[in-house]
Amino acid sequence: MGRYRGLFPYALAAGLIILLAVFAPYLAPMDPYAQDLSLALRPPDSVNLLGTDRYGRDVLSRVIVGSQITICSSLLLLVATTVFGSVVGALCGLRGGRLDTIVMRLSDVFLAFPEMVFAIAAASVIGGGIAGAAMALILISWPKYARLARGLVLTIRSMPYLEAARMSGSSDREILFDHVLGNIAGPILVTAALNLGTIIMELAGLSFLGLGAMPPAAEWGAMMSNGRSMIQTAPWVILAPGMAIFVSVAVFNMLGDKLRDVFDPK
Amino acid sequence: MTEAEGNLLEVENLKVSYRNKMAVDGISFSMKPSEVLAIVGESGSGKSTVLKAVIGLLGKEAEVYGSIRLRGRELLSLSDRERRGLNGRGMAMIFQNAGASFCPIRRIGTQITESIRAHEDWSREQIRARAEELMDAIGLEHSVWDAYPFSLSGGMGQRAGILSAMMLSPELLLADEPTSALDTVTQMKVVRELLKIRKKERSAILLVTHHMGVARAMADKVLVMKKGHAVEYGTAEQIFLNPQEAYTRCLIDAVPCVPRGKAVG
Repeated sequence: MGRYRGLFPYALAAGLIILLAVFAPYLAPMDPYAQDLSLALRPPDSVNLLGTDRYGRDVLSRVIVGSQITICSSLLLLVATTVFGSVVGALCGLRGGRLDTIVMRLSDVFLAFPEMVFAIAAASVIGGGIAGAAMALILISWPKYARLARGLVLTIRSMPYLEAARMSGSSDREILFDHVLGNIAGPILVTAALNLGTIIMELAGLSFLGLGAMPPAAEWGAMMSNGRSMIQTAPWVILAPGMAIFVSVAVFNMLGDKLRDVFDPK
Repeated sequence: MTEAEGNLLEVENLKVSYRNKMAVDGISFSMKPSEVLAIVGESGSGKSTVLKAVIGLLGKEAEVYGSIRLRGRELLSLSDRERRGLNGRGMAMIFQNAGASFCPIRRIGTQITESIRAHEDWSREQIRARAEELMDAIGLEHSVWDAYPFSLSGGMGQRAGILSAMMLSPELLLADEPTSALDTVTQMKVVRELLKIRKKERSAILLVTHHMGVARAMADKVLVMKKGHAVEYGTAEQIFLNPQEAYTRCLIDAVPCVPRGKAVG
């Protein structure tokens, strides 16, 4: 039970962030897209708790609604990448042979490029705003899960329970889904939890560079990009989404650390 | 009926090599129904490789030559699917650490039920009833059915392995060092239970062991192996009472023998 003690505050904080993202439209105090140029660049006060941006939009409402795009997209992206990479890697580890060689060499190609540079290149080619950025991140992120899953499968491949399953007539698909994935899930989940922070930053980074969410979408990276020219005159415009990214990344990273302690108490 | 026609299992000139390195070289033996044949030898002698060749668990990297026939049917020419179809009623295996032959994150009963349903159209009730009959026979608590593998002791895990292997009353039971991971008291219990279940189900047992006491307690015939070759092959009486080869004598002298009568109890 002691192993779980440190997990609770981070799980609670992560849960709150996810709830905020899911129910963002109901929690935002104002319309995040309503422009009023007479209120442009107002510093934080009792009406606009985090001030307004250059179009007079409420920054707090935009940060809250922005969490939906940033956090929900990152979570969906993480699930897609983890499932796809893990299934492909586990299949390679289980089957071996030509499939393993081809897929692993392909993953080597992806891993050989600096992640963000490759993501920028892929997002530029794919285009299409946040969906294109998500596709680019899936493209660069799956190999690390495939590698991890393959390595884990290689360590359990000769375990008697897999031989027994094979002997008792289980097909490769049954062995993969009934016996393999469940037994390698722990380290993969920890890696995924640790990677969520990185994905949030990469997605925000692509939006910051104009390769993700498009204006007027309230997305944290895009909001920072729009406010970067005002960092000296109206710092709240860039600090608010920046802090939101910082807090989210820190919470999910610490949650990942605690999950690792739970799954691997050594 | 010729002698060969009466055989359950015939292995002829079996050769297994890994990357041109011979692991088993020219092994031949035969077994009749409900007979116990023990393959003995030191570690690395190739005895487990013979067993895996029979059950079809050698990896793709292994090259297998010769002939393995079960009831006259050549096993080496079967496809993986045909081979799997044969397991269950034809052959089953007890692993060295049978507890580890169960997936660690699933209940014992669930796993046994699924493996039975891969071969037979039995209802859950039929499977449970058959399992309870066997659990009573081998002295295994019924609560094991709902237990996870990690919660079982070594002896219980081994009995659960026997239970799983015997569910469909296979004609041939392959046992790979079934007692080597157990303490001496539990070893003798498992030996007794294997013999009891063999008597009840009329299954033949191909036993691989380096424990000469266990071989002597269980086997009708013994094959002695060394470095992939057969050193000596004969009835248990011939091998234990009148060994012809120095290596066999060395193996017998190296381990204290358990008198046959006491083991069966």
